[in-house]
Amino acid sequence: MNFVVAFLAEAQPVIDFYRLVKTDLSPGSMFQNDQHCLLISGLGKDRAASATKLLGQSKAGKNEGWLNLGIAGHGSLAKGDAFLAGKIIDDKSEEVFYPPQICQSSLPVSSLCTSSSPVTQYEPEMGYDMEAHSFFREASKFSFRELVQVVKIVSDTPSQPIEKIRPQKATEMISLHMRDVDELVSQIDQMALELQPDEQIEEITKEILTIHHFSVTRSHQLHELLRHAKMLGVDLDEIKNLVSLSPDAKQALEKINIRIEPHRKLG
Amino acid sequence: MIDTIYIEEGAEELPKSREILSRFPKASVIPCKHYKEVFNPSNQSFRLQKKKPALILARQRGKLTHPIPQSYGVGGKHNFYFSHLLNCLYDCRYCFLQGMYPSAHYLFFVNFDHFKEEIKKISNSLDDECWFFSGYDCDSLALESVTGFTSDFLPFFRELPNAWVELRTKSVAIQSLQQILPLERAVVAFSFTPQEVSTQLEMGVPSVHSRIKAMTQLATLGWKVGLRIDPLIDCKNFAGRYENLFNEIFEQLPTDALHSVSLGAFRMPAGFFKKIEKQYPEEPLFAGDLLKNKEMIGYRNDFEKEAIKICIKSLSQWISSSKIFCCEQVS
Repeated sequence: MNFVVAFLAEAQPVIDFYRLVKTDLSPGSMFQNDQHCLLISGLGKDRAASATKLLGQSKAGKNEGWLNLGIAGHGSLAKGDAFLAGKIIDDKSEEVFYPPQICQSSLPVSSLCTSSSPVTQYEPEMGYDMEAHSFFREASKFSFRELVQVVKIVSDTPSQPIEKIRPQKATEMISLHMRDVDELVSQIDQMALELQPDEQIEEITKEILTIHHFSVTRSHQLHELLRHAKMLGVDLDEIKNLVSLSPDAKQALEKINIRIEPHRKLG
Repeated sequence: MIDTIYIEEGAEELPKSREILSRFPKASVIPCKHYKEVFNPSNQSFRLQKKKPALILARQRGKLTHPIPQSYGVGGKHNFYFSHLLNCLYDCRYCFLQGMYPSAHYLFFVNFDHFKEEIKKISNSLDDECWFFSGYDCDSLALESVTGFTSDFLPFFRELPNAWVELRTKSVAIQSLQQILPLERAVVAFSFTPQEVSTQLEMGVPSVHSRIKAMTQLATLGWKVGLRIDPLIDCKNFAGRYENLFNEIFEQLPTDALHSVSLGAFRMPAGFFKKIEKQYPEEPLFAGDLLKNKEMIGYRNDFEKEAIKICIKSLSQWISSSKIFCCEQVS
């Protein structure tokens, strides 16, 4: 999971929960472990966009999970409540995002408006933050939209409007919801895993490409045949042997084709 | 069943929307300006959305009925389809919807009256009988408990003197049909593949056995039923499996209730295929002996011919060949 969080105080519960460690080599404030990576973006749309882009280009792989977590205002929910953003609008543009809600979560779903400056007027059923829209726009360039989500914890409401929120308070509020956050993170990571390319096929393709010279077209054909072989239950090591025994790439592909052919009927 | 409902601006006023919203009081309701904001964006994963599709309530604009592709009919001269719903409750790996739409959400067009107006206009303009097919972009019955489609449309079709309606389904949700008198010009068409194939490719679909039971119940009540053996899937023991399927069906179904049987081999536009294969790279169906021919992906012509021949031969033991229609021209 790739977390983008505006402030360290908001990130601290995530850092503690997943035991993330600050990395020395990374730009900005980045924390990570084997599975998760968190980047502190700083306040506002531009910083959120830059941080997300940076994380996407430098660390994240294609179709990994992304989560923007932080505090927000809300017109209807109570202070301390957490919510998932089901619709993200921008105060300055027409662009609207609808993060698909396919995870099972006990968190309520709400619309969220990303504003350029702190909000003091709250509309009913609407949350207010300063990063989510930019985050979603950038993150969904690296991953399917289903894998990009936004969770906010309500810090200010019409009856308890925004004042200077102590960082410690933000940390406390978010900490209380880490179980829900983790549940969401697990589901998103699991879905992301489902979409990752088959490592065995990738590896064996690389190995076979060293045996003969394959043109670009033939290397694509090889990859497809290996994929077919695997799904049809043909042993990939056997395929590798076939290639080794062939004089060139063209004949190797022909032999693989012949080997797979009888298995092409559905079981 | 439905946790998230997107509702298009203006659609919330329509009675069907109000009915649905009241039926799912716990669902998160998210307003949108136009359904395309939710349904159309790029970089959505149809595969992931299939895990938990949302419902989009919207109004369909423009032309609401369309001519069906040539050779897809079941004997009628004037053939149209209409789609009150895009996408399906089931998850069939061969289904072209996975490649056609960017989203797996159920896009439900609640402006039933506009569909009816157009259907009525077409049927009034024709002296002959005309056909309206409802299950092209969805299953006609599977989401009946949500849409109330047949409860609403069948009384309407009953009043049209020259219009036939086909409900195409893999569902056993036939309660709405059991509660009314059969329509003279309606065909409830059930799609089948052999159970062995269905188990591998038709996720969430009721068993062949239970579908035959549902079809037989309707036939006994006086409904005309259809068989849609489409797509035919190249599988091990093809002849034996399809013969078993036909035997199981016709040992129970009163054949005089059978309106038509249509046959068609697995095929789809190459662009759709590419998109679907990318989503399900591990799916053995897509490693079948398939060929690209004029922007369509399908089985080799010799297999298609042979498969259809086998099915026709087997079906002819039970029914007249005049009731059998092939969806693709076999050259």
